[in-house]
Amino acid sequence: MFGSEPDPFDEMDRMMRYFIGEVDSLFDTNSKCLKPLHRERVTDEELIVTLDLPCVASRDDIKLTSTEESIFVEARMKKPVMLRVGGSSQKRIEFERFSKRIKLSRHVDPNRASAKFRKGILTIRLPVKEEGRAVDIG
Amino acid sequence: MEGRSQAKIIENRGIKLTKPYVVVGVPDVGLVGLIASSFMIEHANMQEVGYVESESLPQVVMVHGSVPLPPVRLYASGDGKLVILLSEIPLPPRSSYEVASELESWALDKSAEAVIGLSGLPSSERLESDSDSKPKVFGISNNDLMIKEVGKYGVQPFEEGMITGTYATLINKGRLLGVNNLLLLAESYPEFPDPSAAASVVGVLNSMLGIKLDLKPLIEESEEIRLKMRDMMRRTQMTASQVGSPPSAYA
Repeated sequence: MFGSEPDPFDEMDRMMRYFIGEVDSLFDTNSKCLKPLHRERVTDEELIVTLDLPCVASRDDIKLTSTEESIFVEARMKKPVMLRVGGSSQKRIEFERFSKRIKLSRHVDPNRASAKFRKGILTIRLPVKEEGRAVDIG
Repeated sequence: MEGRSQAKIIENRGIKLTKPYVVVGVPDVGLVGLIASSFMIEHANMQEVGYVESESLPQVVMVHGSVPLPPVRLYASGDGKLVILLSEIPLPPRSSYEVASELESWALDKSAEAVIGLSGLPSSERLESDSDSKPKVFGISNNDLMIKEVGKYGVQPFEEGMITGTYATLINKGRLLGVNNLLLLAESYPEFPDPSAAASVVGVLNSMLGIKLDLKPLIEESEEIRLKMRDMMRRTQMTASQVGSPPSAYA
């Protein structure tokens, strides 16, 4: 809060997470699978999800499914890629595909969803489902 | 904070600089500055000539090929006309202020021609559109002549918006000390690494500084760079979200 000194343990914890933690979640080393970076943008009518899928050759290499609450993307890379994984001590692991389930921030209509794949970026447009009922104000 | 900042630039050995341009690449939007600077250091055969020492920097040593290196380093070209400050870690706010302040004072001491920041302007349109056009570059400077000059290379003036973080301090301190400052912002993917945006700013520097770097490797390796920089992108976003800061620039 205002005027208080920063807690050194908070600082240390933040530092550890900053350099070692969480970032590992971009990799699933057991299944040699990368979790793609993604972004979600909400407009009045739709939810636009973009996923960074570099080294994926074409839309034929991507499997995409959607429910009202989530999407699931799986994509195969052109060739296996060796990446350094880990925080302080890194090791090299080969990856050959992307996979990610994304919980959406709004309910959508999957039947009217559309997607395109350009320049290694998958853009999915999902119309937001209208929810709730009008309430009479007496 | 009064006077000179707590950070200090340590020169590794007696370096000879002749009115250098000082280019700055720190991780932020699209990692444009970091990707562009790393590419220039490698392809213009620049040598490490110093680093930044500061109590406020995270206590980190980068290890490359068994060699321990400080995370914020300075590189120079053989003719001493170009210097690059590269940060391999996202800078927390206090470090960012101190590093930028010290760099401006150092640039003044070295009679630098100008300090040039490289960054990205987050663009949802670039991310979601089908267009294959090259990312546009926008410029901000405390010297009208510089804006006119880069205008010749296709840089449009950044007319309205806000700059935050390292590049904001560079501009503010540059004004205070009378050091020429230029910030080049390429339209960039907001939250994904964007080597094409980096290629756009290097293209401007090619013309402006006459360095004539071949951009082909940057374009050709763009997909691999995007893969390798995912970690850094995530760490950069985590740093920004922890301090609740907006992107470094928005219009």
